[in-house]
Amino acid sequence: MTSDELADIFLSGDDYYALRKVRYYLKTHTRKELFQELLTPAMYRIGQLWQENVISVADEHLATAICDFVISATDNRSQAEKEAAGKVMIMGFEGEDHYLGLKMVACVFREHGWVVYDMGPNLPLVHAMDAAEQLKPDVIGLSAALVSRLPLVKSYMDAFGILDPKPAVLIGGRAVTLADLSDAKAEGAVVLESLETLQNWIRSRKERNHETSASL
Amino acid sequence: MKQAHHFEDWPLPIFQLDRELTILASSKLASSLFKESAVFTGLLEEGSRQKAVEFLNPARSFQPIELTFLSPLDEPTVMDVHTKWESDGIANVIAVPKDRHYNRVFDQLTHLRKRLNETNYDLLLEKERADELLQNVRELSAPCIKLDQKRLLIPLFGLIDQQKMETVRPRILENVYRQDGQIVIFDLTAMDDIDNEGLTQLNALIQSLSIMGITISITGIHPRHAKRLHELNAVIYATFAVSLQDVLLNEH
Repeated sequence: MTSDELADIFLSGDDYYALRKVRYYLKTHTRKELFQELLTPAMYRIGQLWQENVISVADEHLATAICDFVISATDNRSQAEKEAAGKVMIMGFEGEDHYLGLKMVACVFREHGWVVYDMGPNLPLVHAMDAAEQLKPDVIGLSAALVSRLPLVKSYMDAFGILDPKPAVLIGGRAVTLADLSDAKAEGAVVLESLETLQNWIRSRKERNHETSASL
Repeated sequence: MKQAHHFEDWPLPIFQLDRELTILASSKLASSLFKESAVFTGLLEEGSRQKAVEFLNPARSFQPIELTFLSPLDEPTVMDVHTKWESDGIANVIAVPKDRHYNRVFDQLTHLRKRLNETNYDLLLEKERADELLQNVRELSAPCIKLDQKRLLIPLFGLIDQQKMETVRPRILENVYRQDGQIVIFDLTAMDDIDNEGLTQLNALIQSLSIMGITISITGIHPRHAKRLHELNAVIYATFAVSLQDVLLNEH
């Protein structure tokens, strides 16, 4: 199955057919491959079809809802119950309602045994700070699809900097592939262009933690 | 942005644009609904700008297109944009808001999705609280009661499984060591059941205690427990008594 075919299934609105196809794909592929090779390009394709005036916003919302359903239905929560590799809180910037990327990121973290708090998109900084003070996450992940949200990075980074213990900050989403984030990097944020790089980051952190605990 | 007299009072946002999409004129409603901008693309969300540039030209403007406009407060609104190009290179453009029913359904869906997400999050917090309580229960299910200088009574409560034994084992060993006990009495009267892993762990605890030189008695054994202990098929370094009273009397 190609991502274009899956995009057509999403647009047709057939949720169970979409789920069957994805489950079949998962027999021979990992979840990260599903997200990166299939779902993400399928949703980019749908955005492109709207750009080309082939589909309407209503079609786009239907496809998004079905993609959302497929991610939820194939999510593996049992792994996160077994080991507590760390706590991560993820959210989207205020003023943007894209949330599928957050769900995929949540799945990847869970697969590596992390406890995930998905705060959803469009989270104002005050609420983000309240939640972070309560949950004390090891890592905070921020996602932006729209480049226009990126100027907010600095205010979020500054606010998270005063948290104790100070969490690692990750920034991802389509916007980071379109714009320059060297300022955020300079402030200590880790910019991740894809789920592949996220997975590598999670793995290298695990190895680092092992080395630290071994040397103690 | 000047307003053209003949359409300024129209009840829809209307624009006159040139080929570069500069706004030549607009209706009053256009300036109140949207952000202020000299060019048409400046009214749009970033995802719609390229689409506007591609479709708003004389060769392609036959069909209406959907574009996302930004309100003065940066709120996105999707509208159908109808365009007609005049021979002098001027376009008349009308933006028609989406059907109100569509917007209502979309808002409702967004609201439902948010609620689901919040419920999910609340459930997660509740689950953490429940886990914490369960851990507390585990810790409390094997208290060490000091009877006198030599003897410690440890009643086991509820279902004994691997997790519970792993929780209580270090605490029991520490307690016995600290209180300098010589005799430990396990009372199983309130013990519900014990699974295989729990049993193995209990035996390991008894072995550790006997290595520490502690004498161990087990009392309050239900026939169900007896069968289990037998199944373990291992030497248990303990003496058994029918009731706690027997143990206490025999020791004196």
